[in-house]
Amino acid sequence: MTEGSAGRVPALEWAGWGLLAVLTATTLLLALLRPTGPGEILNEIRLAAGVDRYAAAMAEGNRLYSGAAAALRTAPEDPRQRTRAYEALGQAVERFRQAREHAENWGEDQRAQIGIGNALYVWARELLKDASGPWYRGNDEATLERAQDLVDEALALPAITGGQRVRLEALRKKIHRAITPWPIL
Amino acid sequence: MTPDDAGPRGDVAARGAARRQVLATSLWLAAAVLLGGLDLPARGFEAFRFAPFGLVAGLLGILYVYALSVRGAIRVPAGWLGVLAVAYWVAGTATAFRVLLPPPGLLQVGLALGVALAAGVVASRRDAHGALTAAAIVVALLAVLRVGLVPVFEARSELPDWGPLRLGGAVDALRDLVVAYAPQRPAAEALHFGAVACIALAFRTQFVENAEA
Repeated sequence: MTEGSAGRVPALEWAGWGLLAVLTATTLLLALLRPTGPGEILNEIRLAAGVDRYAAAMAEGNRLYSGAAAALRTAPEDPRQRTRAYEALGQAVERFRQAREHAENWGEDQRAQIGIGNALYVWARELLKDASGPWYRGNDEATLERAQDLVDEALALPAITGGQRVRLEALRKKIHRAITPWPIL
Repeated sequence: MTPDDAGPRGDVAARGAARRQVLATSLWLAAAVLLGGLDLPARGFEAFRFAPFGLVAGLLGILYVYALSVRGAIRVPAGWLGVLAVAYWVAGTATAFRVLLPPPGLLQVGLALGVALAAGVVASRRDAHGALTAAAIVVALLAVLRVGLVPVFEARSELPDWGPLRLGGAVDALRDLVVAYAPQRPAAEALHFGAVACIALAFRTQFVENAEA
């Protein structure tokens, strides 16, 4: 690689500067966006590019939801994992809401609502587990109220399935009993 | 051929060679930052996680770049090339410390203090090779502690609950105070080794004389 007579920069050197810019930009984007998997990167690119936004948002929501549910199932006692899983469930709900905005027909809107309902159900169920202590110790009422809000939000969705509604109502009853252990008073 | 021998033409060639050397070094360092920032958690749902260096690793990076440049182990040209080179060297060195220091806890505090004091040893060497050897010893010691000691400590420091005495939870809390270890998949070690190897290649690149200069 030689410098040209007029001090011109060789093509290979330009390619090197380009590669350095790409590496630096990739590092900065990874640091800022904090993706958690290759699928997320593809879905985010599709969302940003406006290519089939509904499918991209649904795919991302499903990925986050199933990952968080699996983490809660495999490491139920790890508080750090639980916190991360709750964050992922919150992001999944956001993605499903985004999918609802881009839904083009009733069927697509319903699938997004089912996704929101599932994510909120798992989130509220796990919060109930976190907040419920042994019989001699009081429950964490703030967490229980948060769980109740999540269930109410899911029940307010108009197009979730009947099975989902039954599960959510049963969970709501459990949460309500945990908040008020002595309903007779 | 030196700039003095060849006049303005040689000056241009020398500047071009210096620029290309900074470019090659920066490419290795950028690759190190990218590889060293990637974590592959063994638990949870994340396929990977990108965690750039934090304050402690960043400050240690600045300290070591200064110590190594004082001894000539890091070459900093004048002008904007020098600024670029220092930025990539700091990012690369900080990434090395992110990879090599154990997770947060008392162990990290002790080791970070030791590493900061060792920068004095690096700066006090007589030449660049001595400084590089001292830095390489620090890197090797950190790697042994991080990869050899921390996982064993994590695996061998559990206690069962004895009836109403919940010793298991108490020991877990105490262990997190010493080192909050988060296990990673085996491939993460290869990635992090790749990052450190890229930094070693960056050192080598800047010492290779450009024959065309």
